[in-house]
Amino acid sequence: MIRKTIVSIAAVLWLTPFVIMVLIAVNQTNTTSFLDLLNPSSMGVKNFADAWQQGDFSVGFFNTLIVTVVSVAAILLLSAMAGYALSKFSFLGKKLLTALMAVTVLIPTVFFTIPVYQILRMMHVDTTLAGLILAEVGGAHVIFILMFRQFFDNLPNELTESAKMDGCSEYQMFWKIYFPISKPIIGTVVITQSIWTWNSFLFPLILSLNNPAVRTLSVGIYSFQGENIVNWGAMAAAGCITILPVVVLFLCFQKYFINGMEGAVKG
Amino acid sequence: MKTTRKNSSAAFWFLLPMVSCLIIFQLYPIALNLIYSFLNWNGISSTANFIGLDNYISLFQDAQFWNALKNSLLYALLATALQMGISFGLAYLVEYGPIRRKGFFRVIFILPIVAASAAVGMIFKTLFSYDGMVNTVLNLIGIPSVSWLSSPLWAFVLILIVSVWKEMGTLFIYWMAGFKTVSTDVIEAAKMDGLSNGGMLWRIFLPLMKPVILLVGFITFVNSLKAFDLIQTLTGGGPYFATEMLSTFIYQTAFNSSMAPPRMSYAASAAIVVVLVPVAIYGLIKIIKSALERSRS
Repeated sequence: MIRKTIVSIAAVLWLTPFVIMVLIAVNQTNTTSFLDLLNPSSMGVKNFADAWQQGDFSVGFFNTLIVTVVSVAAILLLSAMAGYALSKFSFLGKKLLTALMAVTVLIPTVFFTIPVYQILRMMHVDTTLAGLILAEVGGAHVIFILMFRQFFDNLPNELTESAKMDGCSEYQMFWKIYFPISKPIIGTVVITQSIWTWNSFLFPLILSLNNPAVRTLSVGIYSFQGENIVNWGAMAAAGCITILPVVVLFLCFQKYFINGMEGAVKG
Repeated sequence: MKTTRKNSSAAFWFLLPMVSCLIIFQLYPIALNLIYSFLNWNGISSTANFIGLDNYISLFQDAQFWNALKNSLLYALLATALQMGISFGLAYLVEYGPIRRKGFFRVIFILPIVAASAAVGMIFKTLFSYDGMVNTVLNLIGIPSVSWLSSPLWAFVLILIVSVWKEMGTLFIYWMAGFKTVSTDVIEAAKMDGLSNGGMLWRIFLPLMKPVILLVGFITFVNSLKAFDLIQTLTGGGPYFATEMLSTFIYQTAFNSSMAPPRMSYAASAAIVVVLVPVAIYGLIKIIKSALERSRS
């Protein structure tokens, strides 16, 4: 009984912030006072219209969508190909490569912001969505590469043998056989990375400092607090716009996301 | 049996995208950052001078840097302990307690990871604002309102609270994976022996999961040292630098110094130190461990 109560109370505490966000978003009196929020007569959807139009969150939404879709596709291909090469081929420097990949995991993103920002400036993409995509794709993605590698390791050799018999080239073998059957890993990478990129904050913040037009939703919410007379309602509405797509994605594909997260302790 | 084959050209093409990313966006930046740290560059001008270790020397004389380092370590220690303790307890109760609808509770506790930190920062600011829900509830039980965001101590407590809420999701998933490492045979056998619930936890789960717990502890500690998003969105390092961490210190110095010109090189040297901190801690633990073993034998 005590254990049930503890879990129930904790669950209520963990849900409260989400509930409050929705309450503020649908309240039209711009208040954070808890008692005012419970007043049903001041409810409406005006804040959503405000956030979408005045707060430029429509721009932020499409920026975030473009960056997420392109980055996730690139990361998926890059890590599947690398995982395949590490699983199926022996080559000079394989150990060194694996070691270098492992080292990069420990280094915090903030370390990379300074040099990567300069590299993007040299490439003249420092204030564009392309720069943002490069910064996202440029990470190490070690967990995903190792997941692909392990998946390919566990497939029977007969697969390669029979494909060779059928006259597949190395590239056809990957694209027509190995990549398509790695569906569980593809799902994991797509779902996990979509959620990470959608929520990404530090690089989008730095790359949009001089060009607000490339702000993502995350940065939009953050900058909105500093630049306007605090409009809690519109901000909470923007919060809902930011969080809702990811929550839906998570609820539909829980298993894949949990697999992706577990990779960190299993690998 | 797993076999590998030699086909250097195929291996090269399959690895090319990943290796170019690794070189351009990981290895080259490490070198570049090291070079910057020896210059006096502001990040904008086209020239800069080599000044050797001067950045590092001023860094170690900079009270702001020491404050950030102290806060980062304190935060990482407290956050790791709180996050791990609370998440383990709840995960254990949900997975092995008398709870129906386990899936429902799992979703609730995992949900915070999928919420963008910027949005989380904003929500918690409203919850902990002076007339916000938390103070309203505190008043109801007779406790006066707390100015969470403007008091140095409470702002620090606030980021700890929010980090526990936010990281619960990640850790819950880790523990779920960890529980699977304890074989059901062992659990069944222990039940047959009539071990109580508490006994199961202390004598079966905690000892058997020790490797997982250490690994999760390490990951959580390193992640807490890296923390940026939540702190920047909640407090921005304030009030009076009470929640300034190494990460926000670097960000402010390199990109957002509203009061002074940006000091890219100085920030780069701080970034190098940040990378060295976990290495130093790891080395320290090893030295202490071997000293302990020597004194025991």
